[in-house]
Amino acid sequence: MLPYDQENIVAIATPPGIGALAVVRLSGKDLKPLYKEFTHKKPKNRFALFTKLYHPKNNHILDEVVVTYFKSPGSYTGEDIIEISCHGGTAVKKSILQAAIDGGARLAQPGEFSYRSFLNGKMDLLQAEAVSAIISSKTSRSAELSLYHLEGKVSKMLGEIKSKIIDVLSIIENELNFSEDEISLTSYSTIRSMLEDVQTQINRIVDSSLIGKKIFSGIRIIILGRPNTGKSSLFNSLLGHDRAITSPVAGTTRDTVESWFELEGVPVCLVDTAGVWESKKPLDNLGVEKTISELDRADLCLLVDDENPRALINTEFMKRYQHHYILVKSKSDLVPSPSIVKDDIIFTSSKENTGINKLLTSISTYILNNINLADHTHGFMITQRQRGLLEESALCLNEAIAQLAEGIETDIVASTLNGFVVAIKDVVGEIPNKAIIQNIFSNFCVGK
Amino acid sequence: MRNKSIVIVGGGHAGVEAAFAVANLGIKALLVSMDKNAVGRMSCNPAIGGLGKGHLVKEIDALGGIMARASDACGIQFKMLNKSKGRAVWSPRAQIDKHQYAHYIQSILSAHKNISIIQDEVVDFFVDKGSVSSIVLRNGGTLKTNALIVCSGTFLNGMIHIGKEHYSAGRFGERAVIGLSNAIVNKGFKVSRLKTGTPPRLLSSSIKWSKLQRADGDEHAVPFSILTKRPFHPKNIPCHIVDTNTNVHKILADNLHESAMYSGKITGVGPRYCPSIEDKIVRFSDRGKHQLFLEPEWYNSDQIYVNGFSTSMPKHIQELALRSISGLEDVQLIRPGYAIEYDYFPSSQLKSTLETKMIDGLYFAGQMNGTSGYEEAAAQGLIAGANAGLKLLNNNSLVLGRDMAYIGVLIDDLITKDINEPYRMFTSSAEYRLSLRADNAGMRLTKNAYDLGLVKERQYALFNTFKTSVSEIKTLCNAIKVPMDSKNIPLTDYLKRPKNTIFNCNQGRSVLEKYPYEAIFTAETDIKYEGYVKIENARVSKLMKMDDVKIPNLFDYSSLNNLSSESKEKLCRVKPETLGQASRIAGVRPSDLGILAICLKAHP
Repeated sequence: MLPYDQENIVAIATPPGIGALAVVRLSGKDLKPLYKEFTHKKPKNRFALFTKLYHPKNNHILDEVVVTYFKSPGSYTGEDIIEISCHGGTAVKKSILQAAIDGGARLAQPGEFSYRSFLNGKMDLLQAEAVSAIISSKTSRSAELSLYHLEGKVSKMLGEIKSKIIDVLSIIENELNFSEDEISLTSYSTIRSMLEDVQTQINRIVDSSLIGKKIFSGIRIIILGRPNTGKSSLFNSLLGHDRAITSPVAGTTRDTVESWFELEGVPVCLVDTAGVWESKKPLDNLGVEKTISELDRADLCLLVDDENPRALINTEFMKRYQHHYILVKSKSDLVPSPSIVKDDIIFTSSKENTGINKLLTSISTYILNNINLADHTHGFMITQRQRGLLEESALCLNEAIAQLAEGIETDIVASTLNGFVVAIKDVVGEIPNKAIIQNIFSNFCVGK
Repeated sequence: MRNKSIVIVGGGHAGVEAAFAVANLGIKALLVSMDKNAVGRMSCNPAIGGLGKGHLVKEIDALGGIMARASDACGIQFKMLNKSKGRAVWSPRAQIDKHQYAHYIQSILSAHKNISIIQDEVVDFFVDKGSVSSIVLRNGGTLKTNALIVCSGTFLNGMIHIGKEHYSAGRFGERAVIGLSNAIVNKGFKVSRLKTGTPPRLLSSSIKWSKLQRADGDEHAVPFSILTKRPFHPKNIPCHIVDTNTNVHKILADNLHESAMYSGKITGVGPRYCPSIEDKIVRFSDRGKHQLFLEPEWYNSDQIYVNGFSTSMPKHIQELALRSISGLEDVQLIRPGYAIEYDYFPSSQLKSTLETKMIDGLYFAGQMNGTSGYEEAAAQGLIAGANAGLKLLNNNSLVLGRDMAYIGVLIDDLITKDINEPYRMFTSSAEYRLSLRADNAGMRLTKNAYDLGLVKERQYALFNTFKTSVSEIKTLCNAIKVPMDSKNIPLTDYLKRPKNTIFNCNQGRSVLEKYPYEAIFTAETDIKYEGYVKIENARVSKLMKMDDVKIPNLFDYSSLNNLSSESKEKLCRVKPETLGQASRIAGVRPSDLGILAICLKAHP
């Protein structure tokens, strides 16, 4: 576990490597003395000072920098913070880091800045998880979603839902607290409709959280077709470089090959598979099995054929799986097209690089239609922890509604609804749980 | 233990239970009361039990207390409240003959060889090496004692208000206690003011009863105490219901400036749940009527208690308002309602044993801790008495968790929550409400109380018989088959469906009829609630894990600079005994608990 002490901590906040600029960041209870040693000036809150940076002990000039001072508690961590923007060379960064350590700071541990921020009540657990997600997000879209969390909007949305249920609970509790001859009771159907209202909301969050999950973990697109119909070539064309082995021999791709690219801000995992056909060679059988399991995981399927991709829909293989698919006619430069209906088929030639953009557009359309990116309230970043708890809360709500329908008494219904409230509180970290806090912050990098 | 003794100040419901618990542990209990005849007196409404409170009375009985058996002996009407709701919130209530009740209590106390009642007043006490050593009586000099339990109710600096008049008093017609409160404050305790009220008492013969709606008790009364003889056939004297009207409200509204409370005379905060009629018409001004419950104060009583009409208006306004109610046109007041303001000691100064954190051997119980109601007071008295005694015996203390009893919820709430009005027990306060039923109080508490010496052999034998019956019934419920949807299912499964009972099932009734009704009820309810209880326990225990993390007595919060100042102030003031208590203090932030948890690990 991270220590919780009052020490000054320091870390390089920018990624490793050489850039034009780098940021060294310090946090601690009182950084005024250190600031004075660094700059020979008094700190001004939230003021970016262009200055020479001095070594706190021997007064050597380290670099010309911009130093910003954030006074506690109005800072990221809730403590005093000094941010030093220095030149990006490795030596400069390291010498400033060392100077800070000589000045009494210690190296921060991964996540320690955010951890202090959390402990000082500057962010809730959802926000902390968002910071972690931003740092590790693969694409611009996922970073955007995380930012949305960082602003606390999702916490606020969950808070509103929680307070709606608490309103219902207060009605029930109030009626439990007074005997029947003192007050008139609210009808079960009224309570039910109040719960159903929230049920719709929570279900939407859970559903769209799947989408949030896709934005983070990406969507999987599988390329499927008979052997030697140009699947691997298409794979390479979509990625824009030679990744899979292509050769004119049938069955070159015995195992699946996958690669990532970004489309509409969403990470896309493209999976090239062994062709689907009956084979006597055991190695190929293995490939086919792999293909079947890939098909289970895929979100979208590109059905590729150099003659008529439509024919693939009716194969035994495809009948077993119901998937979104796009029909692709490959090798359109070579094999003359038979008289197939062309409306929903995309003609491509990997060799001449035709039709690839049209195919990408078609995939984009799929993403845009199926993942609502415009409306951020529906995009819901989700970790396994949050997901489990949200599903638990939805279950409690469904259960409470079912109990009311069955005519079960309100003491039991209230207990079930309390389960909902606890689960929601747990998502945003209102219930202190050391193990979870530790786990979240252990996924951080240094400097955040 | 012959030479050891414990002094109890006050003979109200808290003092009585405290003395009884101390005495049952074999220690001499000296109960000091200003008036011997006032011991066991019910100073307000002539009823015991009710929602949440009925649970407390059942728990007091399960712990060997006196209130339940006294209520059974003196009850003149019994009713199970909340029967239209789930069984976890069913609460028993009894109308009581007040005269008989006080006599009954006095006779039990005077018959107990370990209890002496001293008619005097404790005005001060001495502390030696951090422990209570002796008390000073107004008339009887100084007395050595091993512990002091203060249960002085509303008497500490009590001040009665009726309209613009006010005078010092403990209760109507009784003198207030002046010295003791100052003695406690001088030892460094924080004190605050609360107020409560009582309604007027009406002359029965001046009421036109035929115009009122009658409210009878249950035909089949169930007693509170396991010690009470079955079959139980108490009296069933009706109460009566009548509504106020807009004329009444207008009279009160026009004279609000005359009310002690509204004219700003009273600084104490009043109870929200038992509001004065002035309060009700102001806060619920849209309601055209409020229900009043007319209760006889004893059998054949000429004195009628008007539940729901607590007031501090001048007497003539009270009369004027009441006489605007149909049936009360000619009503005469035996005595007016009044408000009383008194000292209370915020309970964050107490440990879970009700011993003060500051002085060893000093215990506070009852209304002076900021509670309202006989039952809440009695429960605290029992816990304080038991713990004072157990400490002298070097035995384990009696601390009930929130998962074990309403009494545990009550005391934990008192310690951790800021009280700004008299605290009343509600079932809503219990996280483990589904497990804490009135009917299973014995199952939850009696074994432990017996082991500690609070429950005597006769009660324990009765309890074991009951327990055996319940478990036999449950076994039979698994064996008995009931036809349902063209197959035979175990009676247990049949009972799990809503509204199904053993009594409406022929197969069940014929086999189980021979068992007592109460055992059948408990077994059946256990079966019905089993699944829900399991879910609730799993959920709540997740929240209660923090109760296992102890916080050292001298923990220095001021060294934790990262705590928010509000949290720090609250924690410093309350000095919670566990992280769980800390988490329940209003205003302590979750993130601060995280810090605390981590620091506790660092400084064991």
